[in-house]
Amino acid sequence: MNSRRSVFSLAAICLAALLACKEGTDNPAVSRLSVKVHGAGGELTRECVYLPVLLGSNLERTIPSSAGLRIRIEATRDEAHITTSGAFPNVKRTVTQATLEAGYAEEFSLDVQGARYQLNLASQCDDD
Amino acid sequence: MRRAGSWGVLALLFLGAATAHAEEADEALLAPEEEPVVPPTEDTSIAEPPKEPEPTAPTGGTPIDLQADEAPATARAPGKKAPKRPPKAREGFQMDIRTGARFPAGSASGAPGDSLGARYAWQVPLTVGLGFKLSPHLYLGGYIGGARGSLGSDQRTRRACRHGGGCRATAAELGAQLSYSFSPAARWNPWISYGLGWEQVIQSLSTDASDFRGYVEETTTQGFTLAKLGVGIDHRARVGIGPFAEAAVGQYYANKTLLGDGTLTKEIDKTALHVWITLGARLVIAP
Repeated sequence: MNSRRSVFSLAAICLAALLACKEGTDNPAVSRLSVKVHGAGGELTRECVYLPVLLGSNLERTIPSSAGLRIRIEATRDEAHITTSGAFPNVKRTVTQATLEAGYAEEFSLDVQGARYQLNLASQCDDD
Repeated sequence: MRRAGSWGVLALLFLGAATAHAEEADEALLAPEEEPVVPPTEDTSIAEPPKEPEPTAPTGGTPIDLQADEAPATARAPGKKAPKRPPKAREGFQMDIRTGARFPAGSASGAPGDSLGARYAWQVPLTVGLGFKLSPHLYLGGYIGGARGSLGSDQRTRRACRHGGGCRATAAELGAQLSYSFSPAARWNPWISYGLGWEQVIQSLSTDASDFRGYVEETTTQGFTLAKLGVGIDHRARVGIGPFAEAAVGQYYANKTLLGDGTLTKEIDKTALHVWITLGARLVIAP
């Protein structure tokens, strides 16, 4: 009876340890922002931007598009500011790291030199 | 790995020198007498101390007799060993090597939650000072040093670091230092120092988490050391050795981020004061 109880206890400890390891590999605290632009002619731009993790880190990236649309991303570890130029209406969005971690997706319709384009922002990159 | 090896070699050199100092101190205690011993007399009155030699004019790099702050030699019974005198006060070249542990305090910037302790953990520093003793009491020189440690208490950074890869902080510093010795000719010489200079800390993070394999981020933070205040005491023999404490107050002015294939240098909008508090030992060449 005692040996059976010991086996159960050991199994419970092993299971707890496995769950603890599993929790450790799930979330590495790195957040990503997927930026995609597509129009009638297909996809124009696809970028996966990593938000910094370290305190004091900054990121600035300009994503050019052949249609004359420019997307600028300024990010710290806490939030990402996304602005567009060359489109109507231009997009100005701030997405926090907490929002990205929880899951985020948004689509904007843009008029670039008379042509319609869709800008997709999301927390999931294609390789996720 | 190679870096760790070179740090190990330097630490061994420091320990070796310290051991040599200890052996030398033992030898000094066992050394034959250099001074004449006054034989005991029937007279029970206290023997007069021998006259101190006259101080000589200071010359560059030569020892200066400044034994005035030492206790006068007293009469000893025959057969008893006299302790060796400490080296004379010096002018000219002097070098010191410091190591120990340094701890972060204050804020890295004015941003919320950006304390120095959140960014960096405690570190093992190694600093080399080179300079001149302008007078037996006054030293002026430069210092160069580095420190290694881990990343700080920030929970998100720690979470990322738990996924393998590498997380570390490496510091460098450079500057000038002025120190004042209170008893430059005595066996135990207390001193205080002030320095200022430039400093930087690189924090780097890479993770092996399955979805983020190859993620590498590095932030270099640079600033000025406004006041490097030190206090310590040296045991002077052929080399000097002793404990010291130091508080280096500084202010960072810029962050340079390397993330993916992009690099961005940005000035810190809200600067703040930080302090690195060091406790350790220093080894002095030509004390």
